[in-house]
Amino acid sequence: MTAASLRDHDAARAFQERMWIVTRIGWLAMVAIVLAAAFGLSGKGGPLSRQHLVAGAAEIDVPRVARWSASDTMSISFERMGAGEVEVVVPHAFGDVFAIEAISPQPASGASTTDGDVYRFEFAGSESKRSIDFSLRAIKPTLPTGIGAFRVNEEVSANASVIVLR
Amino acid sequence: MESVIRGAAVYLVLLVIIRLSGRRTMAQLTPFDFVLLLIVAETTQQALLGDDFSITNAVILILTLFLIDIALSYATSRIPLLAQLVDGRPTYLIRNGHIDERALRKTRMSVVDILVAARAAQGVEDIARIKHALLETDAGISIIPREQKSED
Repeated sequence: MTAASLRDHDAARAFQERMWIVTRIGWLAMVAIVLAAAFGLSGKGGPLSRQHLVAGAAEIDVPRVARWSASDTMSISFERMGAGEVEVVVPHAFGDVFAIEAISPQPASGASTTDGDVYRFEFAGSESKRSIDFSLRAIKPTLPTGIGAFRVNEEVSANASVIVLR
Repeated sequence: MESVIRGAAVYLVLLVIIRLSGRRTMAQLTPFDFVLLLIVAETTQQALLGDDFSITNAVILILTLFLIDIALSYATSRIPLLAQLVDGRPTYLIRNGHIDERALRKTRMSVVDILVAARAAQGVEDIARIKHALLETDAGISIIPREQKSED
């Protein structure tokens, strides 16, 4: 090595200038990713991480972007609901992506049919806002996948799709 | 969104707690300080990750923490008051040869700590030969020795 090559503290200013530009571009990319995450594009909260379906009087809140092995929720809510029975059909494809770990309130019965998994709930008391909450866990990562339509008391929702990030 | 909020919240809480704990914690790791840091790291991991061990969560958290750090460094370089709050200011422990006992007490340092730094940095072993000793914002101690007299 020559003496000149050992003195490197001021030898690469042009390279450093380029690196500073690259660094700033990297920061902008990082800001874009974090903003996208804040809006829900990476799942776990944020307006874009959920999809809202309607099946008759029921509103269904389903994950649109989920994370593999992480817990998630799905809820079916009714603005006004009195005493009676509610039948929910969860499409089979949904069960291929999510494991249902708990349901609140507990269904009175459950069965697997050709249309999907059928859960029957019994509500008592006067008319009020009600909801059925499912605790979920994504069991495999997927690209955007159609999971079919939900049915609540024979009313069919629009088709839903979900992506599970690794 | 939850990952971003978790990352930001944990960063800010840690920043405040570490700032309030004083500088000695960072300056001189006793065995208990070391254990404390390990426990804090483990607890922080729980708070950051929850039950979400996905790569996506890790990436978003890392990006969030780095971006807050970059933003804070920009803010402190432009707002002196914020820099004082976040980074603190150097503190004289010895000034013009006089030991500031109050500063030593408040920063939980001792003359021995100053002598350790003096020996390590300047090869100075006599406290009388120290003109200034400063506890820096990076938790190190800077020693400025008195000028050598000709008879030395």
